[in-house]
Amino acid sequence: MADRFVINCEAQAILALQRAAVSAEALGLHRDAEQARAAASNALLASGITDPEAEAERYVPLTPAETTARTADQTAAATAQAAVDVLTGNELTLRERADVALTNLIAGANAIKNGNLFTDRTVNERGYLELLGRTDAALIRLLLRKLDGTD
Amino acid sequence: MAWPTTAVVTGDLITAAQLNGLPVKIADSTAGSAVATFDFTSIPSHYAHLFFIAYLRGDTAAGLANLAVRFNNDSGANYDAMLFNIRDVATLATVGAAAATSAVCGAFQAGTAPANSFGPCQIWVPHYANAVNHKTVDVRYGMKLTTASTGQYTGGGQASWRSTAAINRVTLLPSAGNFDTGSRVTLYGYPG
Repeated sequence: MADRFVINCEAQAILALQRAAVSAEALGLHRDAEQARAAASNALLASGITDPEAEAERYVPLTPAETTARTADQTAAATAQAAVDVLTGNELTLRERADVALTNLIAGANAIKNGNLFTDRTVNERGYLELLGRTDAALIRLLLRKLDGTD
Repeated sequence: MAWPTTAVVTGDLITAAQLNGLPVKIADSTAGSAVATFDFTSIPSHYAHLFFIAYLRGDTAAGLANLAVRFNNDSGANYDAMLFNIRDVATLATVGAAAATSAVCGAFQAGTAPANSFGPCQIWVPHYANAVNHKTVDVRYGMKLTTASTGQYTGGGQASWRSTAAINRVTLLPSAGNFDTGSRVTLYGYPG
């Protein structure tokens, strides 16, 4: 099980002050260095932090309670994600969903055509519309033209 | 106040007013191994806003994992969120959540995404230290799940925490698995 990566921002600030003091000293800015050292020292006392270097970043093993909570969190997240996948058609895009719908439509139209259920184009059109429960006559006409090979 | 007219170099003096107007890096941490969370504790209260910029990858055996955020270690059902993401197809995916136990703040690529690829994410937490009203979050994120154009995602959204407490701790959690080695999060404090 991976650890928590704990970043203590107070310890980070103290470290930054200590490093600023060293940098200022190196640049010969003794007064600035002194101020940074004093600020770091005061912050250290106020914080109760004993080792800012060690506490700035720590890898802390999860406690048993945290492990249990994390498992519950991630199970809940997976369940929620599954629900979203269902709602969105398992992540099918609109185009993919349209493709599926179109394929089904053509298969249905072909089945009717091959079964000679209707004898002429007008009847076919009406039949397809009734069969599919759709009012999208333009789409049906387009399909028919494709089936006829006239488009 | 006169602003510098050239780039500031080492040794230049700038005024306190100029310094106080700049964002300050509070922490910058890169995971040296897979980690369960990025847990920023003892966040100082004197900034006006917080800004997280993240470079994330997960180790779960999937294309992506969601990124969730908790404030002050509150795992109660106190978070609401609304996100969207788009990719190079005619579709828009949305995720809404109410009274969740963490704030969903985007997604990032995981184990089955192209090797060595990481996803960007930025999270603003405005007025985080106020102790009067609820907190809110503004998010932008992206991910590369495959090398095809349709595998490129970008998204954004908002989330909120039903609490008036000042934020002093922010925990980033993956919805599955861990943050992978090399994931990095930097936290800035922005002055008012």
